[in-house]
Amino acid sequence: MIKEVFKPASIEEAVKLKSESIFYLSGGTQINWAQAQADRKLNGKPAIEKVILVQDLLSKEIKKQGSDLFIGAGITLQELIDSSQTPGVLKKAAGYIASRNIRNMATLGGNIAANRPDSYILPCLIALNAEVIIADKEKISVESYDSRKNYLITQIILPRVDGVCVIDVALKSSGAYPSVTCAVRVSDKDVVVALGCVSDHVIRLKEIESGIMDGSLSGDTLAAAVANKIHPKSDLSGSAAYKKYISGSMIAHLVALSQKGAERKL
Amino acid sequence: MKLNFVLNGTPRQVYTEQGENVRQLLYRIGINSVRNSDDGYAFAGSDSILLDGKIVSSSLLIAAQIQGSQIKTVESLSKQGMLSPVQSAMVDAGIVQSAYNIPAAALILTELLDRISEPTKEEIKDAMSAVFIRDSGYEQFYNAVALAIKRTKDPDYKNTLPPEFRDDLKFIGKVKRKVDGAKLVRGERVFVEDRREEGSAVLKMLRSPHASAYIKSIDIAQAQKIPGVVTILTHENTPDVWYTQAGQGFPEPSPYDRRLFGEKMNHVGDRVAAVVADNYEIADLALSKIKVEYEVLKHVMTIDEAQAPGAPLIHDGEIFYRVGAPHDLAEKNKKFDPRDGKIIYPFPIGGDPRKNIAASVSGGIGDMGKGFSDADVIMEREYRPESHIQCTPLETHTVYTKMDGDRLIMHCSTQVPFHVRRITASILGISENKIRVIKERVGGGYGSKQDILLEEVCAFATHSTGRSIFHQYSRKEEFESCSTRKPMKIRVKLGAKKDGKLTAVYMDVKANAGPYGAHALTVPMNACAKSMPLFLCDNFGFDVAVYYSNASPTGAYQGYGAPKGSYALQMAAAELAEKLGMDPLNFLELNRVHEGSMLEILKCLGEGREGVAVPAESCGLGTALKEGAKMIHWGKKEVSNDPDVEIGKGVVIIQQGSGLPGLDQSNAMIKMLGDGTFMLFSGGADLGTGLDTVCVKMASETLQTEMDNVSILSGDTDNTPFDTGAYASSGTYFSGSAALLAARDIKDKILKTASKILDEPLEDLRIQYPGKVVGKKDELTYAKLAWHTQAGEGQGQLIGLGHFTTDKAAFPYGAHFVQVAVNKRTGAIKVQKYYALQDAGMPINPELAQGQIFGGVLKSIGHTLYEGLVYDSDGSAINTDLRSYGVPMIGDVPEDFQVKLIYTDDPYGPYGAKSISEIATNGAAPVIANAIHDAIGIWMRKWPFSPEAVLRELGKIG
Repeated sequence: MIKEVFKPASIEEAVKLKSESIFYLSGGTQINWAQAQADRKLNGKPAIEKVILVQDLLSKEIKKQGSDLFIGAGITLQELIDSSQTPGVLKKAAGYIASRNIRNMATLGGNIAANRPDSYILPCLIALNAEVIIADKEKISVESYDSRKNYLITQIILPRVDGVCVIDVALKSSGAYPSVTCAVRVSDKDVVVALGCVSDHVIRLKEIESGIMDGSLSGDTLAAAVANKIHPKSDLSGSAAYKKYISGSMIAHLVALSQKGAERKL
Repeated sequence: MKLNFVLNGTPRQVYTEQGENVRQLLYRIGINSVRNSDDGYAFAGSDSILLDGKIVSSSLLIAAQIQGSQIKTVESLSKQGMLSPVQSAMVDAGIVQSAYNIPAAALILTELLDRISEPTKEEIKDAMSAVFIRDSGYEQFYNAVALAIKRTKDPDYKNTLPPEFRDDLKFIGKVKRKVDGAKLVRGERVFVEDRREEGSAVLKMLRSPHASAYIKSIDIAQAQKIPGVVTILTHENTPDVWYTQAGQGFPEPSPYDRRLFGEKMNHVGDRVAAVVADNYEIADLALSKIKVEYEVLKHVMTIDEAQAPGAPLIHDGEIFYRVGAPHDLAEKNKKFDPRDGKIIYPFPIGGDPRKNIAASVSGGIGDMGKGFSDADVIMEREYRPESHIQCTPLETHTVYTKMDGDRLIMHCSTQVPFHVRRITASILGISENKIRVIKERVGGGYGSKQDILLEEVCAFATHSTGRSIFHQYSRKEEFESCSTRKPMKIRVKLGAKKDGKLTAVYMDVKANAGPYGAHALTVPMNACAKSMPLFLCDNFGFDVAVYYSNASPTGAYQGYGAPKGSYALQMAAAELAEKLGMDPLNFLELNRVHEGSMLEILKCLGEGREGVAVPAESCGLGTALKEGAKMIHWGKKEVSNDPDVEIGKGVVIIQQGSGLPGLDQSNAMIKMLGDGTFMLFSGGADLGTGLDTVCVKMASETLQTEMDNVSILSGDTDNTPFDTGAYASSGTYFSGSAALLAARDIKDKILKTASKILDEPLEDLRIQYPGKVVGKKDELTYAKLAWHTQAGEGQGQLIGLGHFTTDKAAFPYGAHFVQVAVNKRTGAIKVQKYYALQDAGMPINPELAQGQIFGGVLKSIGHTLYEGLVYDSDGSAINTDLRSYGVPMIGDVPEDFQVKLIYTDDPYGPYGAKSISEIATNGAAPVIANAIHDAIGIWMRKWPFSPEAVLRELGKIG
């Protein structure tokens, strides 16, 4: 149980309060979630007992600056979906979180900070070359964000990118944990392939991207290359063999769709 | 901290810890509607509140986060006790059944309509995305929203969507408000947890971490010293009384193979010790101080492992028989391990614990050899519905016990209050008159609350300490220590002539009982008893064997053994039809039961007693098949515009029973009150299905008085007469019939008494709406009659009694049709259309009947496609929360989901009624399997049909 709550008056104060055993709390869907505490216990980590409440400090605003879109880290996933400024593919990624209750609470910053391997949103953000601004640091890419550092994310930046970004997930049922989450963006200049649920964090498959870019990988060869490249573990959502197969199949399918410039029908 | 917030429009100041969970905080300050269904995982939606205008899960919030906030709960919706348009619409749409999280759903739908005045289906789906509904499925929520919109403009708008039956009746077969609907949707204090009193103690269980182990030593000394610990129970200080947890009629066809606490642990989660303490913190501390040394044994988890030669024995204790001991009992008892305790069989059920067999039975009719030799085509297949599926009631198992003088009072969430009393009395060694069991509203049972899983421990603790004690399963305990449907493997052998006529039907059913033998004989027998009689054939044979294992406990679950038997036999029928080159619908039509068919096979399928052949007096299968085929355009091949997707269709026929004729018994009593209204006392246990409403309708129709003039008290062992309980689809047929008989009894007394008062012959009198006796000369209202009978010179209060037993059977039937889309690339299955056409005789509560069918079907879709406990190599279930276990949410509902009630008039059911809900679980597995075959040519002979399993069948994964 949380025993001590700090309520800083500013971002700066929040950063000063930070220590290894104190965590930022915004929406609460990760920190206050019983599973999170259970996982910590399972991994031999101490229970979270001290938090810094930042829910009122973080912006929820979405604004365009030049060609970039700046999103306040305090925006909830539902607010992200409801905003007319949010790119469609990001709305769709947030919508994969099946529970409206959770979407009303969980913040975009919190979702990135949690850095879950099965995140629906991280593959999409990575494919969109998204960056985050850390409270007392410079901006870093979402792809290189390290949740162990427990930074306070204040803003998310979506730069203008080319091509078509498409996403998909493999699920047993609408409320289940995903077996695989995936995002692909293909343009004339670059290709990004990001994959969740196959490692301890969302990964980017750069060698695969090169193969797609130079045309050496497509269709079945692409699917096979992906399956060979990843090393998932079996878990409740599926066996390692299934995850390999479905990752390959999904990426090959999404690449074909994005090359056609079409939004995937689900 | 001093917490200020506005609660339902009123400023509140509460002193609390900053980190207190908001759900707990709200419940503590009197908000009943925020319930806990998932231990803070925020999956079920029972904890929903409006926080500053947004729906959120209160269990994911701490107090510090709501400082200065506006909070609304469902308590804000009912003004002066009136229902809001949303609430009244929900009750009348039939979705307020067990209702543990229905108040949360009411709040969510209210917020939706505040946000969007006329939401689309997708918007309703999105709003309801956080709510897990197990009883009624989700389909009728769309009707509820439509009705609420109408009622916002016209509060009296009537729900015209459900069908109604028989114009000559006023209440039966009509859409009438469920008698407990209002208090449930308002979130009133109606569940066991709401009975807990200040100063009561709590009980927490120390559970076995091992699937099989002996307790070598247990040291409770340190734990006992902790201030606030009331008592600690272990096998060393509790009675050596052996019993079955199955809430079945006495004597039960289940072995007595457990005691309160055993020396041997038979599954992960088995009871090691119970701590009773002043609060949970103390109890948790005490649990951590109990030192247990185990001798860990090799465990067995599956049927195959349990029946293997040399397999470890789950119960190697001394075997006893109350009657009918087998001739070789002494031989079997030559060697046993006293640490395993005892197994007592009330009577023989074919058990052989030395082979891990809890029960077995074989039988048949005709000549199987001849049947197969007469066949032109013989087909044999094995089906493995071995998933460990769970009932998952929203309200976990809960009990509150206290003493009243020398009497033990038990507030229970149970389907069987009278069995709870009997079993508890036998364990405590006290007489039944010293125990009162009060069945509270049940927040979901589905069979799991037919068994006595925690009540007896709490009862013993209260009886031995005098303390009032509350005990509630966590969701993890619900998965580990509740009861699942028995996993099975079923071999089916069919013989048929070239024209498709069956010549022989054989089923070999092997079931996994888990660690204890509750319902050991009857669940797997039921796999045959509720599937074979659907077909007419001269030669039937079956072998049933049930094996102990160290997997999770098993027991009853809606449908009992029928869903798995139905899966195997209906799928085999489709496979045989293909082999014969026949359309499966034609095959079913050719071989199916008809009205009047004599069901000879039932004479060897009694539930622990000798069976009898009985006729199918009413059967709506013909209509169901005909209408269903039309609805789904049977025979028309559908084509997807996605090249990866193939579409297929399936059909199956299903059946169930209506209670257990010859075994069940129900009683009811009705009293006329001083103003001519009535009080009905039913022993029946309404577990949310609307049984109380059924009973009130029986009385109102018979007595021609408004339902509001008949109140009901049910399931209270002190105040209502005996009833075997709500299981085996007995509610309407048995408890409803008892209520009808009681109403008829008081009706006779009303007429006889009125005859004297009016001085008119009995034959000239009749009962007439609204609540009066009309003669040729005069009439008498019930109010005046009551005054006459209860005044100083009156002849005494009029009381009617109803006692119902029968040897007559009433079988509900159904045909389920499905259309699925199967993605060959991903293995994903989408249920596009599901049509359940069911003959329930006369549906007494049509809207609730539909809801139960929707719910039953959706449960079984979940069981078929993705639900199931998963164990690690140590025998420990690793998915003990609702999300990772996998339950159907609103996003999983078939795109086109329809229920059609096929009317028949059963000669034995009350007003022609038969049972409704259990049967609905029997169709999904085989019909989806058959449709998958139609789509992509594979037969899914194992559960679950996950995308991965489909891909494996397609050979895409090795």
